[in-house]
Amino acid sequence: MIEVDSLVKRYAGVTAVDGISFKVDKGEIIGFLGKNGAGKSTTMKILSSFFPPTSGSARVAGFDCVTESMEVRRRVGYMPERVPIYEDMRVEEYLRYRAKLKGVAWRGRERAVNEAILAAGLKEVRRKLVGSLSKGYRQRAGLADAIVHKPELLILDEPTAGLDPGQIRQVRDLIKQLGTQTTLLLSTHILSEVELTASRILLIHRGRLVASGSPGSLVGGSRSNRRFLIEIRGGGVLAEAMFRGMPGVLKVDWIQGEEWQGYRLETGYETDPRVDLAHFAHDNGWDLRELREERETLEDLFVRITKTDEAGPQVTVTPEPAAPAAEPPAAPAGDPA
Amino acid sequence: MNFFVQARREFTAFFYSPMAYIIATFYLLFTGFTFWILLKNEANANAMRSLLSFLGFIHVIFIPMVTMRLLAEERKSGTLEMLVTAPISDVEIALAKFFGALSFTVLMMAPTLLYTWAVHKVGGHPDHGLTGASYTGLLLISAAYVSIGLFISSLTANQIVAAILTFVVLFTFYFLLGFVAGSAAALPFNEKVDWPAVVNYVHFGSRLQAFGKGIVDTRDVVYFLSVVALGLFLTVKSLESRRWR
Repeated sequence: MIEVDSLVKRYAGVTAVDGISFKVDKGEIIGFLGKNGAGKSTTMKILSSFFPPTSGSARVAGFDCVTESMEVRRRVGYMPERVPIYEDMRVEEYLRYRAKLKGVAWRGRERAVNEAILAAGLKEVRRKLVGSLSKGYRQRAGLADAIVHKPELLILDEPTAGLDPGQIRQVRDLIKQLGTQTTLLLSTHILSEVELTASRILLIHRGRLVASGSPGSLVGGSRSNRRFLIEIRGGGVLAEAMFRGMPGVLKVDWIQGEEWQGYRLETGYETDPRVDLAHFAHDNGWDLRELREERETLEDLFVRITKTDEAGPQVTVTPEPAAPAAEPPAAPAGDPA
Repeated sequence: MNFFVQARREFTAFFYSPMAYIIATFYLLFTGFTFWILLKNEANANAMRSLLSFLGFIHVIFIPMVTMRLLAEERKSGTLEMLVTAPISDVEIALAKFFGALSFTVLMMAPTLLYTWAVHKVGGHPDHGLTGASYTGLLLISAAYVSIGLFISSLTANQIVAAILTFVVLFTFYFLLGFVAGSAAALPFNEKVDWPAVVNYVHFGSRLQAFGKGIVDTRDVVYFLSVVALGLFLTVKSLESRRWR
């Protein structure tokens, strides 16, 4: 559905997108992650044919975004970050106009508009002026516009930005539902949202693709060290020394408390010392309150990768090979749609 | 096809905001008052002719207000992004906006045709051929104004800036160039180039005069249509500039 090959976009000397390559298959829900200014919106603008890339190519449904832009535009439903809508029109009037503009035939137009209104939950505000809508409804009006011509690819740039938690949930449910019907590319920096909705995540940092894979494989699958936390009463320095001596343990941090002492152990990725730790505690007569593995969340990964601002853009996390690859442009899974 | 969809949106958009009604009201007040003065002071056919040159100037003031929002507003609110990512070409967008604004201008002008009837009513014998030629000229010059205004509106996200800049350009072409041509001595004398003629050639005001005499000169028609084409061309280039900026 989407083929992006070494995409570069420079504006006025600033490189916003710096050689991104990826492929998206039909029916996938892709979460585009990255800090503000990472290049998400720019990539999305290229895919929606707003402007062409400086170099590299982008294809949607087999059509080039530059040379066959009209074909691409007919197939893409795009919602920009600011959700710009003509504020002086009524919701259904606006959708009717957009449907016409996007070439929805006269016969099915009224139905298409009604379906979009229903799908986006705009029924109660369909006669209202867009300018008078609340932020949540406005966002949904933008979504309704994006889906009114039944696009093959939906591109949503931060669809939940600025919404309250209830509205976020509603929009998220709507997105999930839409994801069953079309291919979806959405950007966000709300990580939990991506974990819940996306089938694959593309993490972009400073214009480069630094990680790609399913939410599970990204956080669980990386062959990095594992971390465990144990909390006991009555171990003290002795416990610390004993943990250090355990096979496979690389590092021990003692989190000193008044009564309960915490120890954070770091091991190689193939070691799981939990059973041994429990035995230790039992054998030495320490009270054991907590023992768990600290899994890296998507947020930790995000922070770890994007925090290296000074180090330059060359920080690459290589996920499990199961995931369609990150850069350099290795062959991603799936056939070109 | 999409041109018509967008042109309709552009035309109806005028009526969504009170701005259009305010502009149209003041326009009719101005022209009506002027006509009344002219009618009191001049012979009937003359009144129509003087009204024409007055309208040519009145449009210099009013058309910037009609065109200022065309693209500046879209740029400011970001709706331009929605428009150019829809399956509509930049040429269609420029044409739709041009004809939308021109239609509104024509609608705004239409009631002034009643003045002819008014001349008739007070016992005059308005020359219909002259009136027809005058309105043809007025339509052409308005089209040129709208096209220039559209282009200037595409350059900025600020409607006020667009309006003022358009006014300055139109004022220059309609008025100032007339002064310059009139005071030929002020122009650099050159045996090869007849500067007063050149200035007169591009001066909107003198281009309009023939129409006021009932003459529809193809040179004038072609001139105004060329200005329209130039404005539209520059607007399309300005829209396309997002691609290489």
